[in-house]
Amino acid sequence: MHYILDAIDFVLQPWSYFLFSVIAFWAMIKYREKWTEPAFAVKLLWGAIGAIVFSMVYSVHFREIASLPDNVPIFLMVFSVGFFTWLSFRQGVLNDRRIAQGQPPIEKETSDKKVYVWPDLVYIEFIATVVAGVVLLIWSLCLHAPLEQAATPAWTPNPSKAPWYFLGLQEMLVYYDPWLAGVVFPTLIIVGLMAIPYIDKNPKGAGYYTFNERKLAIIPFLFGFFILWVTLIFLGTFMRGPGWNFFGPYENWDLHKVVVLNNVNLSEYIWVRILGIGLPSNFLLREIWGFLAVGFYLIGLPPLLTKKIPLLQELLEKMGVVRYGILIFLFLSMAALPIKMVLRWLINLKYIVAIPEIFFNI
Amino acid sequence: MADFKDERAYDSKTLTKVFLWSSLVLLICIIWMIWKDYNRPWKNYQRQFMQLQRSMAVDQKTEAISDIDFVKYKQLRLDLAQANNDLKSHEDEIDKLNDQAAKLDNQIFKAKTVNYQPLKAQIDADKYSYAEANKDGKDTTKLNTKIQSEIDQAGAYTQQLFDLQQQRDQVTKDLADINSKRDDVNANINKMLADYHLLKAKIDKNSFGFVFYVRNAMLLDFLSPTIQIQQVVLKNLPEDLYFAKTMRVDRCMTCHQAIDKKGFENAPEPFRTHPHLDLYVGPTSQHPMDKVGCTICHGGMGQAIDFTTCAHVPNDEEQAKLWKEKYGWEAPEGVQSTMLPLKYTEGSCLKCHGTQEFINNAPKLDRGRELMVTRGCVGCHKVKNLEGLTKAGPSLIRVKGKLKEEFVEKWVWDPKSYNAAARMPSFFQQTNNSDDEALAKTKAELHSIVQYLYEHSANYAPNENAPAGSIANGKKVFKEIGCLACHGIDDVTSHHADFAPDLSAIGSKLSAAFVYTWIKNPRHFNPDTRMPVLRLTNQEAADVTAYLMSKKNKTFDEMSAPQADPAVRDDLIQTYLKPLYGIDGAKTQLAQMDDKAREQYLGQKSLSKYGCFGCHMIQGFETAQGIGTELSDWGTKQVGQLDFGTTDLEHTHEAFVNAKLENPRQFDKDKSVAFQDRLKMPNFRLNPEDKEAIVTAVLGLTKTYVPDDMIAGIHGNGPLLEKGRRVIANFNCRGCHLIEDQGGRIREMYEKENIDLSLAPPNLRKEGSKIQVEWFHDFLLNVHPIRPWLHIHMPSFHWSDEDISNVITYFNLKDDQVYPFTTIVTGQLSANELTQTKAMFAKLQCQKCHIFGTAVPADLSTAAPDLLQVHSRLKPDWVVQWLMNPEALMPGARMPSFWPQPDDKSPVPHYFHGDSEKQREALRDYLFMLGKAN
Repeated sequence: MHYILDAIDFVLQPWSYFLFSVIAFWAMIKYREKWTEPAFAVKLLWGAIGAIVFSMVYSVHFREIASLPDNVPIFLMVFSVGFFTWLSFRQGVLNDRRIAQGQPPIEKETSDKKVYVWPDLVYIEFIATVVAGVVLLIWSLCLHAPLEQAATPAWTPNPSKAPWYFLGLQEMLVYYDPWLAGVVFPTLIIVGLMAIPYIDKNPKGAGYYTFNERKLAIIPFLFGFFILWVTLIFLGTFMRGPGWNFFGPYENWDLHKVVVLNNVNLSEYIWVRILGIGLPSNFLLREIWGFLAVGFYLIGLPPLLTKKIPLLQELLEKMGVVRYGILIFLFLSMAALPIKMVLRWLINLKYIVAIPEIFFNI
Repeated sequence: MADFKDERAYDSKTLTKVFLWSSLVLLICIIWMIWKDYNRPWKNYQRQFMQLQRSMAVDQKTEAISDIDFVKYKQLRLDLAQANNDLKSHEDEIDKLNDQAAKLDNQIFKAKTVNYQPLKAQIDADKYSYAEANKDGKDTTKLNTKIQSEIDQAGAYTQQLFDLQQQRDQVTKDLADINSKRDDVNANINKMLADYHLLKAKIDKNSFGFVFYVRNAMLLDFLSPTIQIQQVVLKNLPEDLYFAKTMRVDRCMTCHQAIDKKGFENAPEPFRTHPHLDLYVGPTSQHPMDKVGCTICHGGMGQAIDFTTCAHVPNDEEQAKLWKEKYGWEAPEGVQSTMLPLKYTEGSCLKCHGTQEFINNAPKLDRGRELMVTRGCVGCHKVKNLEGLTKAGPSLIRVKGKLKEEFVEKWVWDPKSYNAAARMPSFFQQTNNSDDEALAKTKAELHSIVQYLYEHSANYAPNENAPAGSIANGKKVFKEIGCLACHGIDDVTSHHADFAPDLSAIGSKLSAAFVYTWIKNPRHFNPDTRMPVLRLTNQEAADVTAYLMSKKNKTFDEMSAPQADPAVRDDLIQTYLKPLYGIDGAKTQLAQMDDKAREQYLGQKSLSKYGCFGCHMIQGFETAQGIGTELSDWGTKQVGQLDFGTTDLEHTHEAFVNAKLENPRQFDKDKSVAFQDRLKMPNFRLNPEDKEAIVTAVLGLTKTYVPDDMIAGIHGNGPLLEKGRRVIANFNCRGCHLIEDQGGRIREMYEKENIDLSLAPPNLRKEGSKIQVEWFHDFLLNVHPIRPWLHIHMPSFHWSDEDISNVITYFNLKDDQVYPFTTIVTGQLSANELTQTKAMFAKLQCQKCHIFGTAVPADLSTAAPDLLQVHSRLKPDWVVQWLMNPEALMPGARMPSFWPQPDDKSPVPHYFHGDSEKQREALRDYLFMLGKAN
């Protein structure tokens, strides 16, 4: 059995994990008709449970990590995200079929009915509060709050992990400087989420589930949520060990693991390896290529893309310049993470712009 | 309304049911939460301890009742009844007196609180106004008059109060007089039942009554619980959280309830009394709980009150298993301080006693520290307070004249093949250098090391050849004369000293001439040696030489030295040269060296690599620093900083240091490490006890803040005492003598072989108050026998003036002698007194045992020192004390106690009117007079 575990450990690397996630994401979109069938979905559920049970039974290490009180929410997250994704896709698929046949969505049938706020709404909300209270109490009584040792600057925990819901952010820190990964990106995520209702004026899909009518909205959002958030939390929980080194899910977390981390800045690639003339001493000159690249990505690329892709042109016409500009900026910001990840894996790129002199790195 | 009901989305009955049940579950959960918060293991321990105390008190009460003399008790009860009866006739009188008393009490109250106190307050206020008015320049005549009249009035009140009080006292006295008989009987009864009443109170206190349950009930126990957390707060001994210090709070006694109470020595844990209450925890001990606490010595998390979180650490696997079953124990994780396993607790003494040479009450730690010096740990590892000491191994400055090259190679290659008890550790043929390649390389290194040593050795030749001697007599002399105090030898199994080399195979090592010269005068070979002269006759020395030369290791003699391959040597030299000169440069450099230069080069590099100079004096390495990690605060080093490699050891300090001493090279296991970078610490082949002692000493090396006033040995006479103790340790005085009631290790042989202990070297207890300084000084410079009947010799050390001064100062200060330490005050005996003393001297038969100048007692085996030397050797006060009670000064003294203690009845009542003290002083004066006259 340990051959299988070792093989999984061997296959799973940050890049392959990302690749598998993207493939699974693509399959989820592509084969939505198939996997939203309840019978198939139940198989998927059993598959997931089976994988976890298998891991718990055959890997002492996985069992130890998975049974930490900190990590219980991860399982709740995995299954609840799975369930609600299935629910929305299922409804969307059914509605899309009805719409294709010229019928109104399912929600139409019930949306004309009205219920009373009191007692129907308030009562069940109150009951829900009580039940939630019970669940939280039992949880906290059965599992001790995972307190760590007294904080000492000289002896920090290793690995030092963020709360589970921030592990996606922490994973970004591997690829981006803290000011970007810890300040700019989180801000953009919040601002971007808040901006959605103002950017997206499309009335389709309001009040009912659909996929076909909102492909452009759903796919990028789910990509950001699944690939750049949920799967990274999973990765941060089970595959980031001491020294923030990457470990296979069944690999023992050895404090002394040594891995190759030879990352190279863009400026070094161009000045030293391509041009062969050495790094200029002026850091603005040294990083000129990085600035150019970033400038092109944020300023040059949007018009170019708009010109080349008819779909975007259509969007521009529908939304107007300001809305469209903000959308493209947000989209490119989101895309910056996977782009940087791929660059890191392919050419060991450390920073596009690297000015440690003033703590400015991109 | 019917319509309304139909339009409801949910059935209200169902909703109500769901609400009811979910609310009930919530209620249960809340109760569960409160119970879980309330139900703590430490509370159960306190309840159990109450039960334990109660059951013990019940037993004691039964015993106390059986101790009561009931006949007497009945009589007392009768007496009491009688007394009460008698009092009946005085009833009127008593009533009258009681009335009077009540009346007087009332008057006193009035005089005090109604009259005097308000007036006093008024006076104080007026005085203030007076001062203020004066300051403002107002007229104060009127105010002054008022104050004066008030003071007069207050005086009158005081007088009245005084009179009333006197009257009241008289009434009390009258009442007491009348009741005196009854009160006396009552007092007697109470005295008789005192124990019983105390125990009864104790039983009540430890019973679970209604009040107990209410005070400790769930949710009510915040008011005034009897079961509560107990703690000591130690402001002087803060806990160091790296960049901040917090007060140390120890709550151990919350469960260890009886730790400071006598009488629970055999109680089950956690209710056992501290095993050394006289020394620790007890309020009168040197380490009282409220000053020292618990965790400063034991380690662990003092604030925690749960078995696992307070970081208990078991002694061994067995205890760990037991704890897991009994307490659900888990290995502590993520705590700043784990407890020291109990067997290593002595290590903590170093926190305050680190500057002291030895601690006495921590024998394991003392042994560990001694071993760290004598086995050479501190030669490589810097350890605070163990610096600048004599090197552990012999000097190699003249090795050429002492040992054969072949011997050195064989010896270093495998010391234990020469002598399993040898102290020299094994560097070679260890687990990380035993593959073929490493063997070849180590052989080359060893050969070059020896070449270097012989090239850098001064010449030496013994100045005398050993005459023929008797092995049998040599063996006898060797055993009896005191060599065994420092040296071990396999012929003697009853005692094995390891202060100096084991001599079991010395014949295979040295030449007879060397041994003979060395025994007679060790400083001929090494002027700095600590080896003393035993003042042997030439024949004795020859006998001992013959004996020692007969101690050979045949197997070792027949072994051949490891053969070094010059090609491997050259390879090694190149690995050293490459970083400096590059590959080609290294070749050129090597080519420029001839064979000898190559040997010298690699020898010097290898000596540096293995740190041989840590223990041996080697020419060219006089100032080299030890190559090991500094250990001064190793005990507080983070476990994560220790490289356990691929071993499956537990990640704890004690596991690491144990493993390191067991097999220092095991942490290279499975690793790919270049030959010259592999672990170098040698294997010391320690026995389990010595290993445990060293582990104790190393774990005790911590960085802990202790305020200066709590550090031992640095206040008052401390530093002077430590100087003397340093000499005592350096020259192994305690190998023979009991000093501070510790040491005298050679006595082990006397005990095991049933030799009379009075033939062992003397106990030096009270030496400072006993011996005169001048005599002491002369004796240490020029040792001569005091007790000629002893076979064992006090050796002649070659001590510096400083050493002698330090030792004498030490002994005197230890016994509270006052500078300049000697006062010869003796009395003058009148003619009459002299006659009486002489008679007394004869009567007590002093000369039966004591030598008296040339008069030697018939039986030397029971003899005692020369009385004619008393005047120059002993301090007068000591002589008197000695005569009074020899046993008190020297347990096991052979001198009889003529004046038995404590009644001090004189054995010779006819002299000095039977005044014991006078008699002893007279004897003392007589001895001093005699000595001076001679």
